[in-house]
Amino acid sequence: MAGRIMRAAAGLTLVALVAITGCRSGSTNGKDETDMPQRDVTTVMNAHVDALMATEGVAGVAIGETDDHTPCIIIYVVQLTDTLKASLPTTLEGHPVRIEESGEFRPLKSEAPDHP
Amino acid sequence: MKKLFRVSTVAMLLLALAVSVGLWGCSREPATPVAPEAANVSVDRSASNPSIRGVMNVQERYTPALMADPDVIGTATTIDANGQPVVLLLVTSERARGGAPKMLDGTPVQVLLTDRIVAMKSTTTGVSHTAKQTPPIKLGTSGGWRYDLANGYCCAGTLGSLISVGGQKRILSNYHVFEADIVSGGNSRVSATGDFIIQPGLIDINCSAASGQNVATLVASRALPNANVDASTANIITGMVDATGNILEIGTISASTVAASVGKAVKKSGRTTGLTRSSISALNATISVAYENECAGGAAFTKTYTGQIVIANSRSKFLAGGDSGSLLVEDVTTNPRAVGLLFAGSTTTAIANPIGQVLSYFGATMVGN
Repeated sequence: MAGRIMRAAAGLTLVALVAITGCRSGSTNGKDETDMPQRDVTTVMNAHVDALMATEGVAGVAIGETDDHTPCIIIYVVQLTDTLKASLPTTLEGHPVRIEESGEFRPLKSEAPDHP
Repeated sequence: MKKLFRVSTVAMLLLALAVSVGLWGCSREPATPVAPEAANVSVDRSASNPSIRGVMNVQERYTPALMADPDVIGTATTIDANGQPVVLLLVTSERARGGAPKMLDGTPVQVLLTDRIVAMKSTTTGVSHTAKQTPPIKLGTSGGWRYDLANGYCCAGTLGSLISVGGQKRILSNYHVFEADIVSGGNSRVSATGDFIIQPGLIDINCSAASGQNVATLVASRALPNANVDASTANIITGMVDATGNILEIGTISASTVAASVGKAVKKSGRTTGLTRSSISALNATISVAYENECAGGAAFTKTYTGQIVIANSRSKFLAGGDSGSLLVEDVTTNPRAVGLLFAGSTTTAIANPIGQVLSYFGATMVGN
């Protein structure tokens, strides 16, 4: 009697552990462990910022978040063309990259014609 | 018997652990969506329809948590293109749209990006950020360098806030609002310490400085192009500026500051768009900004900034031309802490210098409570 109860409990515990493992796999969005970042997102951005800013059409680079709040690198572009999109990375050292069409950044002073 | 009791107790604990861990371990997985019903043109679209009532219950259950995000401004129950009842989220930013759940307890969620909902009264506060004020003036108002007129144009920005440098109170604004005229060019002068700062700015008084009032005197520091801040200050003229640092529609602020963080709710008070709210969308930004050498002048230099704060600015609703110099503060009602100095942007994005860097540059503190 006691043995049967113990076996049943152990079985259910195993089911629960399998369920947990399943949930963890789902939370990585199927990413291979080898894709996991080795350096933090700020270090990675700093390592690549000069090259990114030197790319024609790139207006800025920053640290933001993806829709699921994962830290990511944001590349701001003046105009998102197919050519520019193809030339920019989708990940950097395992960190996701988001591309945003921002237009040009300008000082926000205002000017008006000097009417006579 | 005693042994059997002990074994049973252990077994029950294992069972309870198995079930509770199993449930907890999967609690963040998205719920399985309900099977869609066939579209039916004669479906009852009132709250008496059990399907719609069920979605309304889900909507009501999640509304408080959803609306804790300042960019989620409403929820509703609606019918989608397939005739199915769904939860509708009204959001005011791309960030909130991206962060919205796809399902709530098996109910699909639709997200609608919209403008902030305001009462459709012609004037909600009666506060003008461009009118000439009776001194002492409040900040968050139109202003600029008295002589900012060249090449057939006049220029202005915002007198944003008050800082203290060695006990002297100064108006804080941008370099490009107070002292960017660095060539004699179109007006035969360059900005210099002692020049008057006026309120309102020239663009709000038909470019006629005589219609404005002197409120401060420039302390030219030429922060750009070398420093990492687009900042400039002017000593207040006694009696002309509210010495408490009161900002239009914000009031007094805190003397302390707070660091930016992604998602933080913020607001500002500026010459063009008045009091507006948004949220911080990114940090540590490297951006390049091109500057002119005087009002409507030629190219002066392009400055690449690092470590900047990025704020969502969909269709320039948060920050527009003329708002430069506004203080970015946390969105709280009483004595908000300063976060940044707004100076640049585009129709989707606004940029601010971290306020800590600005204050360090001048050896200053915020004037506040």
